[in-house]
Amino acid sequence: MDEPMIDVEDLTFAYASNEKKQILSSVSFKAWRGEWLSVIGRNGAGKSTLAALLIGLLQPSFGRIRIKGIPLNEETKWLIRRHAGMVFQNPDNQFIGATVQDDVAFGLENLNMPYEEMQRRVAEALEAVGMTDYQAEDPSRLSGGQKQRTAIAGVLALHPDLLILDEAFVMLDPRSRRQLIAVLKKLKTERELTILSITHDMDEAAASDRVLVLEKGSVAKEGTPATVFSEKTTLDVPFSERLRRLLLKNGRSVPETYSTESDLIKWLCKSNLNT
Amino acid sequence: MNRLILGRYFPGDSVIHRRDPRAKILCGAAFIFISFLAKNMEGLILLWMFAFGIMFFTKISFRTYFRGLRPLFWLILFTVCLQILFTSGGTLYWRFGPIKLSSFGIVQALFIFTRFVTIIFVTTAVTLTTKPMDLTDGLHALLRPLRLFHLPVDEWSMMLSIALRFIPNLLDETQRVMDAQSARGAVFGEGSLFQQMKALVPIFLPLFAGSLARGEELANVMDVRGYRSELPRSSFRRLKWTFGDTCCLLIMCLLIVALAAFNLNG
Amino acid sequence: MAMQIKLEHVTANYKIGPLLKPRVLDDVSLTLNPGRITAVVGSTGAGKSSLLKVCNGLLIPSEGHVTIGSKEINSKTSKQSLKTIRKHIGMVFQFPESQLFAETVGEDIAFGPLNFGTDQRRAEQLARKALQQVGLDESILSKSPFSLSGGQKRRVAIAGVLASEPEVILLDEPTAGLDPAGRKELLTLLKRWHDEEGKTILFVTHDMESTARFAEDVIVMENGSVVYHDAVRPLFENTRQLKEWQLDLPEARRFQLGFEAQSGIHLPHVCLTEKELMDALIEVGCV
Repeated sequence: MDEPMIDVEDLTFAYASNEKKQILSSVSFKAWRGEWLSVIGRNGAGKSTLAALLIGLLQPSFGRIRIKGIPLNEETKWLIRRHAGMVFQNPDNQFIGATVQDDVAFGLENLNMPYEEMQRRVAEALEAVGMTDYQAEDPSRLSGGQKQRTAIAGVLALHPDLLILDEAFVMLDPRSRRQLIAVLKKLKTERELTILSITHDMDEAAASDRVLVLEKGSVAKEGTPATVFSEKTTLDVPFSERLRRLLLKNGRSVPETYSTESDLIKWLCKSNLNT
Repeated sequence: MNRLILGRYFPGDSVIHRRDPRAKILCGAAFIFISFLAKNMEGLILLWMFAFGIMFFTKISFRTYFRGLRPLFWLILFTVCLQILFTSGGTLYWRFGPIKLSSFGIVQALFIFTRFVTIIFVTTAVTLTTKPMDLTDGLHALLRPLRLFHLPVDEWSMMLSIALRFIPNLLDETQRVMDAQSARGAVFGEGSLFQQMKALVPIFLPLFAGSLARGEELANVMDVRGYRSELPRSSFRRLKWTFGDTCCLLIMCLLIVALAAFNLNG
Repeated sequence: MAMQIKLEHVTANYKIGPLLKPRVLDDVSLTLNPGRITAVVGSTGAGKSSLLKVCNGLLIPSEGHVTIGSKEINSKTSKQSLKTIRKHIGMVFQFPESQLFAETVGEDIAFGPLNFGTDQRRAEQLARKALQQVGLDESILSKSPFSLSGGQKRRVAIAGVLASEPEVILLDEPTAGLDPAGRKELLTLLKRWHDEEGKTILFVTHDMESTARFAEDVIVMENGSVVYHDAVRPLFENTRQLKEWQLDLPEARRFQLGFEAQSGIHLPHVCLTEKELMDALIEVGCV
């Protein structure tokens, strides 16, 4: 196998003002090309600090980060950001352009890209997130979900290898959230995009390939959604798992591990046929 | 705040709306300059005709323009009165100590009044028909040569466009904080001056804190998206200079020539 | 006697700076049952927030009127009587933490009661009580609100509204931006306040889980009009209608429909929680 897209080793972070309190301590993990990795955990577990470190907004106190084999530091961060982007939580504060297409072009302008190339990339990125019809709108006329789509398009226009989502869906309504998850799934397979999503939304986590659980600044668990959700934790779990656990508690027969909603429905139908 | 007309944009599709912002800024600036060239009656009439002509072609009602004058009414009145009462020369009609009413004074006042009002009309016509963002682009393009003198023109333009971009958000935020404090029984615009000032603290502190947080996040976003002020950037927004824009400048030149001719003859 | 809110043919326009949105409320008539928890749902821009604002005089109807207890709000109502009304109708805005301003948590919470004419000592008592109602410790009273965590700030802001001892509380997406556990905690707190004091709650939400688990009645809004105002359960029965209003299903109901479609078995009632779903599955002998 080739180089991992993200390679984090022994990552430790504390603010200079309070060195004793480690926000992250010895975090290590890898993410591979075309993989969707979710980082979940409660508020204050260090999730957002991790995102800021990965894109070079903060410098680690200890340990190292490699993106596509390149060690991330103050000099290389600009190089890495040419092919990696981040979508932040607040839809309003990351909309820089006067219109949708201007905003998508912002990152390209920073690369001093020729006009025709920008035109092509902006159109293509807007198409990918389904915002072509809104290209000339200004942000005050868009919903939160549409603004976040625009932000994703802004990253896609870079033809990125890596997309980091820092609780990007938190401020959206459930419907927009589901639509965006579907968009990301499609992009991941079509473009071999690596997605790292920092989230507390269980549907988002369930849609990913692998889940990393952060607790008080350390990796508490790591594995597929099925293994992570099947284990007893204080974490919130998807609905099908809540139902499975409830049935189990009441002495009913259930599948042995976490299954998705459609699998559980299938299982229930089948067990019903057998009896 | 709602009454302010200058600096607002009225969407539309008139001949003036369609002009390149650079042409409009140049013409507006040229008009301010040539309004000082008018030194006789013919010149005055020409200025009025030009101003009203522009206003007519914007397809925006004259009422809007007159409303735009309102905030400056007292300033205009004051200046005109000063001119009338303190200028001497020509026929003297009336005098009381240093105050006098003379034919020169009346003519001077008429010139001042014309300059004031036509300049406001023409600049209002420019801002009413141009999106703020296009104005920024136009200014940026026109000021670009100043880069030779190491002036940070690109950064100015970036700052201005971001400020414009966040004005609606700030308005929203202000309204929300005001509503929230009203819901908790705060009353604004009542009581003594001191009480009124005190009532503003619960609005300005949250707004200030919010803007700081917003600014910090915005800086992070720009950083992550690769904005570096020291490097050259290309531009996605394009201004298109058309034949109509050249015509605009030619009309302006004609106006200058006409005014100069009136002065030579007069 | 809890306070009744009654809207009769209310039409309202919204104005902010140079922007004018006409008819954000379009001929709305409804009576809010006192002592109930009512959810307001509907797609973005349907007029949900405007409905809340018109209930405490932050948005004045251009036509029709709102009756609150024995008082009426219309275009002629004075600032002073609006203030009396607002004393009884508390309102929590979206992301209320952004309105905190005072030097200490205690001062911030006491801001409302003091504005409504309570004396200093009583206001401090009320602040303590409100802080306890939102599940925070008294020790933070002297701290700066800006030093608190996001979740704590939200609770302090809500305490600032509860402290005025309102009869009715209006909340605009109170759980927006919270994680699932935080969401549940906050709703449980509000429910406890409602149960103990027997007061009315009207809250705007996008989250059908909160609607299904927490509300008793629902108002559905579309283009400034109220298209549904009734109990929660019947709303989730008519799936075709829900789709038309662009409303989601609670997870349990979604699961139920998926199961019914695949198995051909019809469960006896509309299930809104996993507990109800389990009971129904047991009842038909599926598990």
